[in-house]
Amino acid sequence: MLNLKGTIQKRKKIKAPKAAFLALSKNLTIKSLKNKKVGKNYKKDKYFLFEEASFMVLVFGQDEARPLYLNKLAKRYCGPSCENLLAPARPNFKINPIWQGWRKRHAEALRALFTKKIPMRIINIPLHYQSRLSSRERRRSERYFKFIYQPLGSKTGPITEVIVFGLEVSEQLLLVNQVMKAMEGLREEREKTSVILESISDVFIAIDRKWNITYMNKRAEFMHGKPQSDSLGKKLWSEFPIYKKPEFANYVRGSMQQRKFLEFDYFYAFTNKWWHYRCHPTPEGLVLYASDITEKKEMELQKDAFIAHTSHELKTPITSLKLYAGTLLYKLKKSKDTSLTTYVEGIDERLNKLTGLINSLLEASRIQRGKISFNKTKFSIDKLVEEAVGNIRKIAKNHKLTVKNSSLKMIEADRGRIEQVFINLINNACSYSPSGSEVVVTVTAKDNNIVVAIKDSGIGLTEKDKENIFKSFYQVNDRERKKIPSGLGLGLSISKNIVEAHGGKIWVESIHGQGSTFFILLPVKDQRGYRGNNR
Amino acid sequence: MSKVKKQEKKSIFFIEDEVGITVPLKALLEDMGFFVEIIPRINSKLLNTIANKKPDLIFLDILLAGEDGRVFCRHLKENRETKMIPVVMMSAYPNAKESALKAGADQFIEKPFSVHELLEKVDYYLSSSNF
Repeated sequence: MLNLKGTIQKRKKIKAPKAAFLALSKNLTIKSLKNKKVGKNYKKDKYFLFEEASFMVLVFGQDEARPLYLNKLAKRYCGPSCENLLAPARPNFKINPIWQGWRKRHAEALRALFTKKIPMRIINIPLHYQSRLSSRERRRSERYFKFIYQPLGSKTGPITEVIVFGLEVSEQLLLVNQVMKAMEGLREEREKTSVILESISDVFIAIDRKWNITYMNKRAEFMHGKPQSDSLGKKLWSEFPIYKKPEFANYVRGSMQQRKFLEFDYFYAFTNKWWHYRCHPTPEGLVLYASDITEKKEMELQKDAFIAHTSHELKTPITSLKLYAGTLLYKLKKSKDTSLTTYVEGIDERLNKLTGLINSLLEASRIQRGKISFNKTKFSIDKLVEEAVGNIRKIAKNHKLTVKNSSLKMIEADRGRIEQVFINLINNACSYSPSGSEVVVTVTAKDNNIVVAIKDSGIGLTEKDKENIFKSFYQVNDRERKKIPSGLGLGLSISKNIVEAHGGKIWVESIHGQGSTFFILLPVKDQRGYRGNNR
Repeated sequence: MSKVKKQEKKSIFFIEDEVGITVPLKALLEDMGFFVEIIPRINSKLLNTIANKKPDLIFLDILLAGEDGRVFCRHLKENRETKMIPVVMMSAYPNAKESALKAGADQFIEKPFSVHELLEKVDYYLSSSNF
């Protein structure tokens, strides 16, 4: 800021007046000024050169109140009675208070100059100037002037006159003011942000690209037990060795290197708390943002425990029912009484469905919480798709299932889980498309990825369906066929979790009424080095 | 089945406290010609009883009233007299499979299972059965 101001002042300082002043003091005629239109009425005194100057020129003798000379501009700015403007205030004579302020400093400056106490003086004052643009229109504007006091006379002899140059610096000051204001705004904004960051109950740490800590809020101080002043500028890894643990470091390094937003949950055994970390890459480096989710985790654990317990409690009577039904069926078959077997088979079938529902509920809860470990092996994707389609063919006999595979790739994944995804999607395709229609499964290889597309010619999806279809418990309403959705609406949510846990993606393209195509992208090998949600 | 003489009957022990499971199973398996004994509780004498009776197959529930079936399975497998008896553990918790096999169980069957699934296990160990 100071620099800016300094340069402006320096540049503007004398240039124009100095040239004129030099010409004057050496009694030279400035040739360039000769061309200027100088009115005939002007006295041909030694100051005539200044008459049309773009800056104010005032010449004072010993009497600080009566200028010997004022140029056109000085007269204009100082008002109609400019000769008296500097005179002591008289009653009924209005003087701008700022001019009054100047008057004192002006008198001091003149006195000092005449007594050779100082060689030169510069006074900056704002001047409220009322300009008359037309007879009706009046505009008040504030202008800023810099006054340069230069004594005249020989070096050894007495000082006879003091010439005062009044340079307008409004523009420069305005610019400076604007910059100052902008800086102030920026500072305020930064302070505001800082206040917000300090007040939140979440941990906020900013790191530059070399892993140096550039900012951390109060909560971060509290969590790590180290004051901000101690940690700033130090490496994250050396300052907080706890972050070196792979379950933490892999995510943070991954986010920094790939410039990708990542989030994960981390448990601090020391404080017995769960934190949800978000890594945001920034132009400077990385921002770590962590919120305490211990309560949420506890709720989740309770929910899991509840689901696990309930499903266990439900499974025991189901087992019992299944065994009763099975025994009954055995006995009926043995006694060759076939009239009742269909009923018992019906019971058994519904019990299997009930078991399936309970299992999917349990599974969804476990998969969502990342509690399922994946047993990864290498296998042929084409073969797996063939197998999955083969399994569905046995059930969906009314649909034409076609496989087009050309990938010839081996992938590394949990075979059982991936098969589960395919079966789920192909099954959906069959159940949401009319009997006799075709379902096409295409397997293609693209770079290091496999894309499996499952296309049906069913009812298709609305925009709302597309938005929500991968959410838990969401079900597509098939009003046209009056089909009541069966199941819990967890299949696609489970599939999404499985695919994402393998570093893949799942999405759908569909036009309502014209069928849908579900896509699954799977990397040949999950090279992330870490597991979890990456949005 | 009726041809199977009593002394040739293969014996199956069910260590399970849920009557709803044991009643139909006993009825079914006895009908098929097996000797079935239901043991609803694990107690200190049970190991001796099993060592004496030497059943051909044991179905053992993981969670019995207050007892951990896995601990008993370990005892069975550590005992010279009983370690040869195949043990199939049962549980409604699918993730219990790993710990069951670790405890020495020969196989694991997840609840709810069907008669068919159970008979598969029986057939596997007592292949002479003719169901």
